[in-house]
Amino acid sequence: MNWILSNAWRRCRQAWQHGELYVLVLALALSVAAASAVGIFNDRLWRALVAQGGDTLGADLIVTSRQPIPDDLNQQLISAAADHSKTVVMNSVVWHGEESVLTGIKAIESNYPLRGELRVSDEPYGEERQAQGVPAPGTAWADARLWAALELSTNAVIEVGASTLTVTQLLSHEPDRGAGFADLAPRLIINANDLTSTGLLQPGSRATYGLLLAAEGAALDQLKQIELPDGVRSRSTDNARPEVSRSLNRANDFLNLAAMAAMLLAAAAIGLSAWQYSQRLQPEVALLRCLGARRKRILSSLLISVFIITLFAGAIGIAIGYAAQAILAEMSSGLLQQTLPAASLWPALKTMVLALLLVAGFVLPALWQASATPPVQVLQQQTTLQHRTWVLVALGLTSLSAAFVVQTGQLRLALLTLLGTLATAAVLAALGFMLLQLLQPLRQRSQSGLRLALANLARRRSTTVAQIVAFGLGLLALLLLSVVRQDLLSSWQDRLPLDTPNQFLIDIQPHQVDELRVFLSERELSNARLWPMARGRLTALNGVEVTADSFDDVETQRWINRDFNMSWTTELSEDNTLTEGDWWGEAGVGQPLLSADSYAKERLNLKLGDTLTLSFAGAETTLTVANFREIDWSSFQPNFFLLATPGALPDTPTTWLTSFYLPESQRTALRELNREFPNVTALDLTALMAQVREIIDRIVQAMEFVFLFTLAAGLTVMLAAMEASRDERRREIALLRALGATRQRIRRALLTELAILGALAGAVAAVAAHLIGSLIAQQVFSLPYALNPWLWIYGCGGGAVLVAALGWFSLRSTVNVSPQSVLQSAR
Amino acid sequence: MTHAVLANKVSKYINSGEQSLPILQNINLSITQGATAAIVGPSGVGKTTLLSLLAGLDTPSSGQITLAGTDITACDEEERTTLRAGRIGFVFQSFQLLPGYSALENVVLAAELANIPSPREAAIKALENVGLGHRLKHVPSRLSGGEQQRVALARAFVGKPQILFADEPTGNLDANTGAGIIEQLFALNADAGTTLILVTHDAALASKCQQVWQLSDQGLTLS
Repeated sequence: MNWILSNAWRRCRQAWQHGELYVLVLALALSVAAASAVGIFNDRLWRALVAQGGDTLGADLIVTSRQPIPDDLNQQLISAAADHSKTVVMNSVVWHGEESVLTGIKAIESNYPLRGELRVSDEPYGEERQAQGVPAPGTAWADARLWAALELSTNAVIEVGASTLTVTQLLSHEPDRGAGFADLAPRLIINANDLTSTGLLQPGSRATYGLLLAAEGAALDQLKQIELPDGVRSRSTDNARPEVSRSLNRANDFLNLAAMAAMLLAAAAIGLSAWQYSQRLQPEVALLRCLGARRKRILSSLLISVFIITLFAGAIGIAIGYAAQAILAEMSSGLLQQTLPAASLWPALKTMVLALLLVAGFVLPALWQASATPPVQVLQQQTTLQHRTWVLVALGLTSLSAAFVVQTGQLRLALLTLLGTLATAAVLAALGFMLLQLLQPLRQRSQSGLRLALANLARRRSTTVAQIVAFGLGLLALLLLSVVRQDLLSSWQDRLPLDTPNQFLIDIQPHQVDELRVFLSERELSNARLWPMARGRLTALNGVEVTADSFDDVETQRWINRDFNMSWTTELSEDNTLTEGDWWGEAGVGQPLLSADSYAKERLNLKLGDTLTLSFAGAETTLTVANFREIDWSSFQPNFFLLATPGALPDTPTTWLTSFYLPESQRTALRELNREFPNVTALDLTALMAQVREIIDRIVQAMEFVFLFTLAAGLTVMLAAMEASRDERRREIALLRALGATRQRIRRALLTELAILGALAGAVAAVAAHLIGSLIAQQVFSLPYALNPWLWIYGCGGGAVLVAALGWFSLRSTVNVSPQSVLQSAR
Repeated sequence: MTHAVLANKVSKYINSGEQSLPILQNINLSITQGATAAIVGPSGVGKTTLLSLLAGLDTPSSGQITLAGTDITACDEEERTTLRAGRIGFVFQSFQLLPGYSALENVVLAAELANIPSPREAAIKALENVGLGHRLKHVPSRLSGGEQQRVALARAFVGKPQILFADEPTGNLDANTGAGIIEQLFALNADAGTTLILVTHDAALASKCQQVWQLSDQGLTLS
């Protein structure tokens, strides 16, 4: 035992002093860093979500409805609860000076919230404190996003609907928004007493009415038992935020994907440097065995030393991961509703297990082989280690899969990522091989530096291709995320005609329709159609009663659970194409007919002649499917899955909507609109798209950040390969020097070789990014995708510079090798 | 009379494709405990292979070898390794010092494997015996060829082996340095009463040994 420990210690010291295992340490540290950054960050998100419990709702039970909650139900709920509070949430444009933002406005009563607390601060990122009460009448609290978007300051005066309010605080936390990703719109909280004066709430307005209830034990159970009519939903802490956990899961998966890609490449680097290490260990093992050290003892001491080195690398990785997760948290701060709980080290320690798994799969086989070096080798030339490749591949893949499962907790995701990455690697390898072949004819016609470089690349072909694949994978991820995403977005935007509507007006009251037409035509804004709209609910299909449970697929269930927005007309819009049946025209007026779009057709499995029974605020009507339509949604005109004939629907609250194109120069019209029609909500598509883009950008940024680890892992693979070639290069360069090649010439040849290698990896990544981009463009978005020269410039140029720099760092000493060493090695 | 090494009808073949190439055939040899013996012969005749077989580093294709009283042809690799620890010492042409370790560490390593009490002190003493007491902390690359071979001598003798195998111990050294090493080798051998078996093509060196075994294509003969 004594010898085992002291030899293990000597090996560690050797590794440290001579940098024998620096690539292995680097690769291990990188994989742990990527995994722990994502692990710690995800853990913080989840703990924020879980820790909130009842706080997530602001109540023990919350009942919401798109319509005011019926009085009798209201009474029943209130009488069964210990306390209650009402909220109304609606979207409207808020103005500050010339700035306007579509905002989620929430009116609250003085006892809000019943559970948890509101937290405020005086400025963005200012010190948070518990709010005293709620905004006083005439004042409002804006969240950080609204604060930034409207460039607010304390006591700023804003316009909300028909009223003006003073912003007194920055809202930093609101319990029923909870953790997780923000709703699209920023938030403004106002006093319920100010709601009427804003004029925002009209019959048929889009608003969500909430009734917060406090109750415990049996009383809460009793509340949960109360039957709710259609359209009224309740949430309690046990089913608080399913959509939040869904989005969190998805974000988790994406970030894990990036981390796993980094781990996979790091594993390749670990494997490469472990085999190189085992080759270097052979003479030592042979000597030790010759001196009487048994194989078991040698192996034990090697294992202990590698274990210590793994812990060391893991600790470095965790430190990097810890810093990186703080950057991730900072990047996501605008997306999250609250500050995250402090980082815990537990998920980071879990990544230590992951490092040990990678070592078990990729390093132990190499050590096992090294320990088998026969003692007779002290008297002979070093032999190449014999190994069964498929056993090694199987071991490696098993340990990687296990590490992925540890990281994600999902076998399916782990295996899919593994297979996906391997398939991509295979494609990159094929591309790399082809490009390498294409370059070969250049050898005949080039100068000596380039010729030497190309010859070297070709001679180490399999290593070259492996390096291209490793680095190419990292580059590919980044190119896809940055360049291709931008390309797709701009080519989609370019396809939209200039006068594509960018404003939607909703919640127009029937008596405002004519006034609004005048308002719009006075400003030459549009001759757009105004559409009436009513909300109905499907109750029966072909006479058979249906509920969400009647359908198997989740999407239909979700669709059925909502009210349908329906309109009626005699005129088929230009952006609608009839696919089956006949359009009814003027003859349809008063007839109980229905036109369904292809989505509705597919969801409900409709045929011509089917009947749908719909309930409009309790009044039922049955309509027969007369035709099917295909909608071109990119027209940005209002469209409806279900259209009826005028007069077919029962008497029901109706609002109107329209869309039009508002040139930037006429934006003041929105403000006039807001004053004249305070209840009408203008949805600014440009702003909405900007908001969506901002959120996507943030998420993509976070992913890009994690993919930097992947890129670094790719570079580590290159480094490992370069280190492996070092001795051979040293011999070759010594020979070339002996034959009269100058240092400068050798330096030029080496840099050329490295730059070509990097450029090839970049080219392969660019080709693959272009292919994937085209595929997504055609298959998913039906867009043309043009070749973007930046893909090549970033890919090849960036690749050449990075690899040349890294290679120079690793191999520069070989250039200075003395020609005399040829003689020494020959002796 | 006890034998340090006994070889009986030892042959070694290597497989090259479908053919089996003979390296050594029907070798018989006996070296008594405490004797000094040289195995000489032209390059490529299999001297080093014979040494590796006699020392139990490799196994013969046929025949029997007894080393320090143990039939090593009946032992497995691990048993032979255990037998070597502390009982068999080696000196190599290319010194075979671990490059990253200091002179002292190289010797301590062997002392530990030989289970010597206070291995460090023993190693220092062994290095002092070869005149390297002032070079303990030096790594091999900072020592001359002669000094490196003296470290190897210290390593070989630190475990007080019964038998010492030396493979062309002066092969990588100039004549003067080589002579010095040989002198030390024989002096240490005389002090410890070790059996010395060396492989060389240096006739002068061989002549210092009590027995000289001549290896040729025809076989091994005692001259």
